[in-house]
Amino acid sequence: MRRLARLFYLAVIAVISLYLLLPTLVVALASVSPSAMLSFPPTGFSLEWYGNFLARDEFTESFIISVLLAAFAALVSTGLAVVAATGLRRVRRRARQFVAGLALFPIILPTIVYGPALLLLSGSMGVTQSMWLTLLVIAGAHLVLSLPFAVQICFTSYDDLDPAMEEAAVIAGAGHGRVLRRIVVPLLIPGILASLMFAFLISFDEPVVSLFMSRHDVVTLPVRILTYMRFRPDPTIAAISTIMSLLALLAIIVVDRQIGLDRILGLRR
Amino acid sequence: MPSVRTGYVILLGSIFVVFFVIPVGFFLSVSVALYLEPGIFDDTFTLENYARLVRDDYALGVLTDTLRISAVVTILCLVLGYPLAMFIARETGFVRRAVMIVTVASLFTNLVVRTYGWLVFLTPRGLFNNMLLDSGLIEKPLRLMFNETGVIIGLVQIMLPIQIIVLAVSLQAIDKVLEDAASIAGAGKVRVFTRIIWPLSLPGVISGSILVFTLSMSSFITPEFLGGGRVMVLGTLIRQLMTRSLNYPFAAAVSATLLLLAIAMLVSLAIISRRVMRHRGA
Repeated sequence: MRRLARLFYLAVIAVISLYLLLPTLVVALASVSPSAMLSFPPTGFSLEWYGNFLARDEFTESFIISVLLAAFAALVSTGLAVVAATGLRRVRRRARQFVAGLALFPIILPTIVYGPALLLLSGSMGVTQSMWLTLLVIAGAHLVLSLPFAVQICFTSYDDLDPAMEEAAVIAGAGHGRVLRRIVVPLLIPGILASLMFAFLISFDEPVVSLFMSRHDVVTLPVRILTYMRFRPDPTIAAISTIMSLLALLAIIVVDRQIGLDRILGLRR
Repeated sequence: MPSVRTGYVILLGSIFVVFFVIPVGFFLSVSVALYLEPGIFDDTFTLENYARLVRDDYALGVLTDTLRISAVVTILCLVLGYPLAMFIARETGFVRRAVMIVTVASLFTNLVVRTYGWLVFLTPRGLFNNMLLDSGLIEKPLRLMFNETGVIIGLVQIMLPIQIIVLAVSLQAIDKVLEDAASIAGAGKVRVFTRIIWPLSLPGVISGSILVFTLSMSSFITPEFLGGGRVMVLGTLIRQLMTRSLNYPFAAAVSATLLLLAIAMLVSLAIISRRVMRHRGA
């Protein structure tokens, strides 16, 4: 009886886990299927769609735009968050809380409200006429959206540091800059890496603001997938999607190794 | 170095003002502007756009549909999320780690990719229907997409990881000694659950559900693509008003209402968690 209940519990866990994995698995299956019509068990194996992804300029172009936007969001938001975490410590607690609170605000804002807001203002100012200005607006929006996570991660990882380390360095005669360079930043590396990765993924994955702000020459990868989904569903987007899922999985495994998922999620182990 | 610090605060502040406060503020201000014709509005003050949201049966229907779909998604996430959260909170070893990686990986898999996966899986001639047809279980493909069922299947999968993580954190905080004490005192497994675990996990249940409800309410990509235009929620309505009917003031009023609902949900979340903290502290 006990064993049966346990087996049932494990079966439930397995089914729900499968449900969570299902869309990703289906997309992976579609990406290596030789025909556009999907069947299970698969009828063959083909890398044709991956070749298609590399061969079509519009996909490579979108990929480059997405990577550049994500790299910008990751570097700038993490940079700002590290400065806030290390520099504002000795300042009044109010200043620190102010930065943390300010940065948390965009979480409340649904992107379905943020996207139209950006479009309406930039449209009425003529910003959408220019490719570079449009890119700048998307970059700024992605920065605003990724900052909360960067600030959260960097603040937590700075608060976890043992203040004795810094004190010891100061007593040993190190100046402020030297303490920061030699002690604080090296100890913050795992947090900085996690922050870079999260911020990168948030921008790289963001579909709504990019959809509203998109113009013929500014189409990020998620938006490209969306337009294909609507007008010409073809397994090329399955190939791209699989590459994106693998990148996300890789990022998670790296974070797990570097910091541990338990710590990031707030689980004690 | 006060000047560097001031410069930094100015930099951070201006990023927020330029890319966040001004666009959102402007958009919200348009919600009280007068709509003249597609794409054109006048800055005469009016509450007409808000009045329309309550008066217009269509708009009101969209609002109630949104709330109903979000409620269904929230309940399903709770039912499916609890066992998995329990597993992550209580087990050890390889299987637990695998379940956790599956949860976090699906959280970080692109929303568009997941929606596309459901599209491929649920479409009338898609994987699922083909499997059922081949096995002879059904004769005609099931309609699982371009209706509410499809939207709910997709949304639950998207929100589930969030509920699981919030629940797992709160389940893990429960002192195992309490359960052991109850068992020693003769309580069965069911009783331990209903009298100890469930009540103590309520803060997690409530905050997870509020988060899932709020995010479902403001979802757009999944209803748009799995609903195929047949399921209208606030998100798809805003999109339609912005890109097709070009009624910006009404789009802004719908957005402001959505934002207000989201803020109300999160404020209640903050109040609840503060209460719980005070309770624990006492």
